[in-house]
Amino acid sequence: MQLAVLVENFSLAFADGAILKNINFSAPSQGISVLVGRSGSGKTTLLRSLNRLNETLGDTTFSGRIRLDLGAGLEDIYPQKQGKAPRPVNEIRRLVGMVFQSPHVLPLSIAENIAMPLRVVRKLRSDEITERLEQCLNRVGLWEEVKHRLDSCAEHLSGGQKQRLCLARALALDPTLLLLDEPTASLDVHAQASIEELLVHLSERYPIVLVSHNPRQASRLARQLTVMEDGKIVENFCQNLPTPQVISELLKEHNTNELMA
Amino acid sequence: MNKLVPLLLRLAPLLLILVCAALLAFLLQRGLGTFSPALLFGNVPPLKALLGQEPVWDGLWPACAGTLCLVLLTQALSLIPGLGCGIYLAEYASPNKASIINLSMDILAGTPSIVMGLFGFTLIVFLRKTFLPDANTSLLLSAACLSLLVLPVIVSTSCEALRALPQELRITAAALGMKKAAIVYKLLLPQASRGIAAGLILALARAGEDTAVIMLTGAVANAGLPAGLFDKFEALPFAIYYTCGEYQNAEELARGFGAALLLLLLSVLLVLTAHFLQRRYLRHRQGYHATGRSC
Repeated sequence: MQLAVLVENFSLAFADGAILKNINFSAPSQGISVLVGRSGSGKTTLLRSLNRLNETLGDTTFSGRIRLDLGAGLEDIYPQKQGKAPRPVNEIRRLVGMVFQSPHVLPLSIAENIAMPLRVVRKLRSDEITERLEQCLNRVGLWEEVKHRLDSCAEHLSGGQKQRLCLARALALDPTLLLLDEPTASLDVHAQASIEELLVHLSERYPIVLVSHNPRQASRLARQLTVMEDGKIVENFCQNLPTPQVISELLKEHNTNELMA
Repeated sequence: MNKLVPLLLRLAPLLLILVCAALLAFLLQRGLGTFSPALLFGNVPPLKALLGQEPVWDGLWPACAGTLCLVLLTQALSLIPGLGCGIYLAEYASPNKASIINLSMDILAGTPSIVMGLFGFTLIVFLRKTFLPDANTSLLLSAACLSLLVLPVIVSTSCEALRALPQELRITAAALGMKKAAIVYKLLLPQASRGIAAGLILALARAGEDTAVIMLTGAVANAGLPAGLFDKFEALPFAIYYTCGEYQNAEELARGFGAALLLLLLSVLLVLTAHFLQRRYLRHRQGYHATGRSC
């Protein structure tokens, strides 16, 4: 199986303590890999380790290695004692698209939300930006809804539209991997269904690592399911994926064990 | 107590408005009568005075021009270091470095303006005795001392404006692959422009009204229009101070009130211009609704 992500013996700590403890994890280059776990289990930190975003939140120390397929086979994204130095961190982040729990639109117009990163990060010309803008909004099914108001403020879109705009913005930068941190957590049922449909569609082209706290969603979308607890991976399912009831039981069980310990 | 606190909270802004209104009414009552072209240009035809073809000796036009030059020069000298320091404090400085810079800014902010004026005056004396025997108090020296005085205002307001931006903006931009410098200059600074502009306007007003610094560093009663950076100049606050101290009759005192009103109008004009430029910038920068409101 071709891998998009390979995490080996990876631990990460902030100044106030260790968050990830000796993680071993891999994600295939096709389909959606879902991380589930209770709040504080380290799902988001693991996700943010895959594009080194934890480093923007404070001083971190790490051990182990994380390798991603950024277009030229698996390569280290953290510096190692031996071997080639990793790509610059901003290039890694550009190649690993990320969508957050609450839609983080920039306080700019709809068009500028996509155009500004393209101009600043990819240094594209304005005609290329215009072309890519329409292309990406079409891919997330937003073009028809916003094509007449591209210059209006992105913050006035609905929750689902904002999240699709964030996806379009990530796609515009030509990522090789998508990281989604509970992307439907703040949306209503209809917007959630629309985003899930879009993710299934996108997973045919991009490897996706998705954090979810919703067992039903995890069961619907996962090609691979990983359960986390207290900064560790406690279960991993690549085949015979569990039902939502089993996932809920697993989460409860691990939490009870934790409390008893 | 439960009723007293809300009552006091309502009275506080009312008191502020009353004080402002009383001050304005007093100035208008005493100074409005003197408002005429003669207050600005004396006996010289206004066009000739504006074009600098004829010197104005008994009008306030040279003081207006001097104040305008002083304010703009002060802003030019303090803008880059003030903004740079504010950005560094908010986005780059470690807690240790930030505390050292904050301490320096607190000391600078607490320095009385007369001390700053004395510092400028002493500097000129030192320069005359050492490297520059021809050095003298001038427009440039006044602007340099004033820029030291307004620097803490610009630093603290720009720093606070940047710190007030949500952390998610920085994280989102970083996740898109933007470098730190690009995040600061392309995203954070434009977003913080309202707060930064407020600081610059405050600095503008502070530079326009200060008398203690300029009276020791280059302002004089009769210098005509500002001739250059190294020449002495006239300024409205100094003209007010001088008139109030030296007036011989009621007419001269009324001219002092006229000058005070003029300084107030000049400050309002500068502030409105700054607001206008800021709005134009935001309109250009951000997405707009049909109503024209910014994001």
